[in-house]
Amino acid sequence: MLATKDPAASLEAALPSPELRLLRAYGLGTVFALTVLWLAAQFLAFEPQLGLQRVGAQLTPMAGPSVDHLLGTDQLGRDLLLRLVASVDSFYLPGLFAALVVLFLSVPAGTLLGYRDGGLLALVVSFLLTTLSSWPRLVLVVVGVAMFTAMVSDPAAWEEQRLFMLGGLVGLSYVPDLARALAARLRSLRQQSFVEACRAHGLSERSILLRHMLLTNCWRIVLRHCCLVFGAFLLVETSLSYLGDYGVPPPRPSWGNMLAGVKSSVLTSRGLIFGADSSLSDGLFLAVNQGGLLAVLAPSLAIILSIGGLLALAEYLARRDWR
Amino acid sequence: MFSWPSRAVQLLGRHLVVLLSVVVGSSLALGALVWHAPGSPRGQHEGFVVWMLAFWKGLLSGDLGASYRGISVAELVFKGAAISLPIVLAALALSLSLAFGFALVVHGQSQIGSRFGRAVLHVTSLVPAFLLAYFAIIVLAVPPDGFLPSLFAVFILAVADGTLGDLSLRIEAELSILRRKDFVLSAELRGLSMPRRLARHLVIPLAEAGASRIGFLLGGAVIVEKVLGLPGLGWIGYQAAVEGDFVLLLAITVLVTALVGGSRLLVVGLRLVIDPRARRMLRGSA
Repeated sequence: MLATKDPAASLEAALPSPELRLLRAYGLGTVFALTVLWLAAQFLAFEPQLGLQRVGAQLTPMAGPSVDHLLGTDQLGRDLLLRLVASVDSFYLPGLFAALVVLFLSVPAGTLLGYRDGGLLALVVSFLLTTLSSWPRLVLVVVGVAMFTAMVSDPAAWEEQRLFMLGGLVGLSYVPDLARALAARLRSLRQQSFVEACRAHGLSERSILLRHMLLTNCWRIVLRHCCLVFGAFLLVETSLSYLGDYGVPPPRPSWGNMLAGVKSSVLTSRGLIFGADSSLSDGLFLAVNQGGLLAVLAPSLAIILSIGGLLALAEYLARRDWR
Repeated sequence: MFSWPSRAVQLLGRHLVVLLSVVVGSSLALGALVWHAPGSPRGQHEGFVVWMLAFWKGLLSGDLGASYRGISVAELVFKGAAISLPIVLAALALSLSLAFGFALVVHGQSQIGSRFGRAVLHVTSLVPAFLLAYFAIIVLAVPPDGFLPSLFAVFILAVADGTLGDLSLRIEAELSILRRKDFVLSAELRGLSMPRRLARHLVIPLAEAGASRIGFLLGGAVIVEKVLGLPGLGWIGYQAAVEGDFVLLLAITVLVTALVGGSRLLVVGLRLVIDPRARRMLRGSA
């Protein structure tokens, strides 16, 4: 069997530094935790009318942590922990869909640009990638989802499909990045002696490309971009859910709409107690004393830690990548 | 046989053609969607091509018709751009300055400073812009009017969504390559002032890094302006999307695409002006 791996990469693979091990543990831990939470969200019993309030529990708005509510309750008295867990359902599958979109569009485009020389099709693909990369990601997403919402007759009935549409658009916005990275890698690999050796051994071009170039030497680039796309989708979903028009509509929970919900409650209390010109210390005092601190911090930390984990995994894959 | 200035004009012309093609392609793609969306201008024009030609003509003359609310689209876009563009450019300038500082710290001799710098960059890379804007409202009580929301928007766009982290890493990488160059080592041995010399050679990488982030900043402005209540391009564009005002959305998208493409063209021009190697290469091919 031909050795197609770079020796330097093998050496680095054998000796990961403590920093790399930390990145790997954090990244894989995040992916594992999100998967477990998504599974938990599927199996937990929720009362839909109250938006994930535990059946039979008493409604106490902005309550602190207790045995009944481990993280306390939100502005409507719903269990914060249950809503945090259930929110994973809003982005997990659409996020994976976004990763699939970038995978299935970028690999052919990158292969066309990096493995073949020129041609009209390569020129057209290159132009499409340039056009796509000229659209800021959020602009592309907002325009796309606005068009989708305008074209369906009953937007409320298409809520789930809209999330997948968001995923598709986020994936599409990452296609130029991955396609160009793959093209650059394939161009570099074409110059390597192992490709000549493969040809000399009579291997087909398809086998060389798929098995020895893409699968062996490009999987980390692809996986890295999948992590980035998943993180980007989480960011877009929470941002749009926070704004409230194109994300996850209440009462279905999302980390974004949880933050939006508690915001009005905190601001209303602030206005009543301190007036409009309240300062930093008032804000912190209010958040702690009204039991709103966890309702604000829990979704915020969930967003930051999840995105951090996905970026850590992407960083780990980038540093372990063949150079 | 062409002289090198005409080669430079040819090169810039080629980039300009690509930019125009991208703008036209984007407007055609979005225009086709708008044409088939409910409330489209189908009734007012004879066909899609006629409408697109009228749109481009209007784009050049500054008359893009009226929005859904009856206000001039051009007026709305100019008003929004007058708020958003200074914010985006100030955010870019602030981010580049901070990134240059962080790159010097991270690349410096002090190990503690380097680790601290890296830690700060990692943390800022994780914080989404909308979350920072959210905390600005609920914790710092940023008022919805006045100059303060714009200042916060500048800071948030400069720091959040990985902008600062990305720019710092790019500049640090360039700095690391530059420090190993013979002429830099020789200047260092002769005791010449280094920051000034390094800064001169970092202008192009800084400009390239800045141009690559323009799109991110314009996209981030959509969320930040909406959260902070700033009526800039992002806010107007988002409202246009929500209200189904697709002609206004089309105009804003085309403008944003042109800005992103234009920033890349600007970097090519800057390289030709500043980098003698680029001119030498063109002289060689002339």
